[in-house]
Amino acid sequence: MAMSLRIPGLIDIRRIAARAEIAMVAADQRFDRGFTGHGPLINRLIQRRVRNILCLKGQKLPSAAARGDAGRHAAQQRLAARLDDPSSYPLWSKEALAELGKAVRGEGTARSLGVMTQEAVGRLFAADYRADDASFRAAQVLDAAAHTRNPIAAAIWVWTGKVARAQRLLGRLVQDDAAGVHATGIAVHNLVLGFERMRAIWAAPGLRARLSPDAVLARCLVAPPSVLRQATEKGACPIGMFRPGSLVMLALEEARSATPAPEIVFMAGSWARCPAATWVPEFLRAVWAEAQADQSGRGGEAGGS
Amino acid sequence: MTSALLERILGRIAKLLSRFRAWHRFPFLVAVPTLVGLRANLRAHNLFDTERDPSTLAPKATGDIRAERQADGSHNDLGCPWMGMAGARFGRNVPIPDTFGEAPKGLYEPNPRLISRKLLAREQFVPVPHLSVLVPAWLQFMVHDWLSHGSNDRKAEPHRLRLDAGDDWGGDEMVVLRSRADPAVGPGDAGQPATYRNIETHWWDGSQVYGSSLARVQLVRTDPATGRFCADGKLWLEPNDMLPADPAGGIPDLELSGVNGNWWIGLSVMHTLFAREHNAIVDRIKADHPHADGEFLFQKARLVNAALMAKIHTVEWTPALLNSPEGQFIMRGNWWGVLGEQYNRAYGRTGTGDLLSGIPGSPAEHHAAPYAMTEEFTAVYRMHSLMPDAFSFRRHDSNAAIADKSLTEVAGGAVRGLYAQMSFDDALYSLATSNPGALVLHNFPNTLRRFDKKAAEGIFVDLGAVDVLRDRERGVPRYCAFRRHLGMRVPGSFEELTDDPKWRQELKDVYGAVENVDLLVGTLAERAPPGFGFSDTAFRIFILMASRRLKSDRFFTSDFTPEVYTRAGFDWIRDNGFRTVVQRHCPALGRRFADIRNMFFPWDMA
Repeated sequence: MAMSLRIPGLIDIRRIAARAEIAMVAADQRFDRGFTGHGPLINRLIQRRVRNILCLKGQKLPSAAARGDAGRHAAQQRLAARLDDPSSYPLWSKEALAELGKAVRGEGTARSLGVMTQEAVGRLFAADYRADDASFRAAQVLDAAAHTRNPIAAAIWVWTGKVARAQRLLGRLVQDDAAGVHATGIAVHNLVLGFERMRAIWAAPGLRARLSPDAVLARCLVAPPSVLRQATEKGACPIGMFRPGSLVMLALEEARSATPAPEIVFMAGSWARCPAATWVPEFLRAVWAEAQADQSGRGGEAGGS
Repeated sequence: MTSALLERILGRIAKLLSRFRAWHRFPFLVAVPTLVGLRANLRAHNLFDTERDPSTLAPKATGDIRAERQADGSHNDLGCPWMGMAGARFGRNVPIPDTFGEAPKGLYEPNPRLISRKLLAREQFVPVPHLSVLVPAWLQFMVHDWLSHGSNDRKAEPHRLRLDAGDDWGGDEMVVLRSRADPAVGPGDAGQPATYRNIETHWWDGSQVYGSSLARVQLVRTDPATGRFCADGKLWLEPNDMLPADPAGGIPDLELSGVNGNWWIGLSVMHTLFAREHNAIVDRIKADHPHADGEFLFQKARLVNAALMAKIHTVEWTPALLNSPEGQFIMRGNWWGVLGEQYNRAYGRTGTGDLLSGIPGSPAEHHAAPYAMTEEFTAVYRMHSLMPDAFSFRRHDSNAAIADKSLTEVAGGAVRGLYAQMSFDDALYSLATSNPGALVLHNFPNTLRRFDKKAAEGIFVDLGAVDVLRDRERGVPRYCAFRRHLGMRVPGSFEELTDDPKWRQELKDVYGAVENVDLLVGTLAERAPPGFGFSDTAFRIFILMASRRLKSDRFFTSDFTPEVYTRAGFDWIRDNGFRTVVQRHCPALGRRFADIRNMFFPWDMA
């Protein structure tokens, strides 16, 4: 449902969750994510927060870089080429798969789901990536600071250096690869949530026997809760009038409930396409298959008749 | 804008209150706004579109698009002409990722045939004393207007249900054909849940009377003796005002109507009444438009007849089933608004919103998704338990017995034979003075559990098992998941699901865990709100879809005007109901329902 809030001089933000509107804004060159600091007061504060949090050593993370940013585009292309290449699969270790499969089945694991997932994602950027509680906590800080609706909490985290420490730690683990920091600090939480859903499916009596792998994947693919776009010029489009600095929030996860398609979950087909659009579904499928394969040798499921 | 804001606020309050107790446990003045809030929440969160690519449907309009309903249901929404037309996809009431059809292993667990035998089979007829058999007759009459999945797929590998040793079905498996798959799947459907198409128009347009294609409309209007349309846009009825036999029907002596599948005496009565009503409306409009041609009169009479049926369903049928002050108020409010019928008649509409003066005449609105019937709506309308297994026919003037018949003997082509034994009035009187079955466990008609599909070829179906299987096949969530999606409290155990200790044990034996309970079984097991003829779970879908059928339809909203309907037609809708329809076409029955508050309550016996 589209919602907008505009108080001249104070705020100008619109939230959209319809597939057609999201596609339209994604394709419209007048909407970008450079976050240049224009617009009413609250818009400028939001943009400043995004710039401060989604960065590494002064360089914007890919999720905050503008569409025309040549470095962003080249890095996105390189990463996508690597993650889309079928000959390079599997891009995960047997150990990671086994550990995650066990976690999905609800069996005790030494490490948390978050740590395991972060390590699997991190290995895409550094072969020796080792996640631990501290690295995952850093990811949680970065994500919470970026998404919290409490601007005071976010400001405190920035001013006390908590966000900067998290950025440094996550950066060190991937040799300061900005895409790696985004993946292990922000995007990883969508994957963790997907595995939590998978675990819930496994635990629900009878449910896993009723769901095909496609159905499990559709339920466990999690889109970013929302992504921001900033109008760069004055104009109008079917979602309404906008001015430089007007913000549009694309509520991707809400849109996913109506359209669980790559164009929503990964913004496939747009300039902001997630480079892991192939890898994430493949990884989820592999973990589900692993959970089932291991379980099949241990007898039937609990519940049901 | 104000109305939308109020509904959003009520939605928040309803969500909060639902944490503590169900809406029907609050006093009237809290329960009614809570229901309005629940509907607002459902409109925002429980409407999903299944069209993923540009539609392949290419409607061609005939006649006056603005002021006439198209035969195929197209051009209702002028910005999206194919919306709701025959052949458009069913929508959903739950998020799309949760609508994948169940996969084979779990699809057959527990075995639907076992559920039919152990939980659905009618042990003893449980009637609803305050309702008449006109209730299931009307229900099916309406369902045939709204939806049909069409014939099943004979080419696909069928479902094979294993039969237990003690099963009397015969053989070691029951074969059930699969639902017909969507024939027009596009690239956007890759990896998405299967979709199904409605072969009828989705709109409340009387397509069960008129048909969902131009060819069918022409057939019901054509006198076979001349091969021409009946005069003045009337429907073809035999000289005794009864439905003719379908010249193209595969079943001998089957009566003709827009939709005549699953035919039985109850449907025959409703179709006959509203075919006659169409012709009566034609006569009235013609009095004001003496020079109008047959096409004009037909189209206007159809508009009026469809709206009258929608009104009867909204302010008479549904309140009969929701026999509580809150249920009646909310349904009548859909048509007349909070200000009520008397105010509306005296002063007309107040404002443009639908809260004060009802939906008819308010602006059209599709809310979160384009208009379509939904699979979940289809699922909660599986109400076969309303049907009796046996019928007693009696004279309307003396109550003298005419004949006792089984359900099979009043179905299909046998209906015309019945009219040789009794008058139409006798048949209507007999149905109106008999009770339907209650929507509870162990009350599914056994005739339908071994339904004679093609007895000569040894083809029978167990509709109880099929009902359960269809929901699973089409990805309708099971009972607990379904309630979760509607924002309802979910039973954590069989004890919370039902307070009948025998049922609890039976459910436990069949399902093992309450999360496995099928939607149909759960709705039959749960205790309905006081006065309600069906479950609160089904009611949630009703309050969403009942108002949507009106609110999305241009002919009930922005074009619900005397200019489109004609002045006489517009007044006809306002001034008539089921009582006047029956009074007009069966005047001899007037004494039987003179003292009855609702025409769907049992009439007085002679």
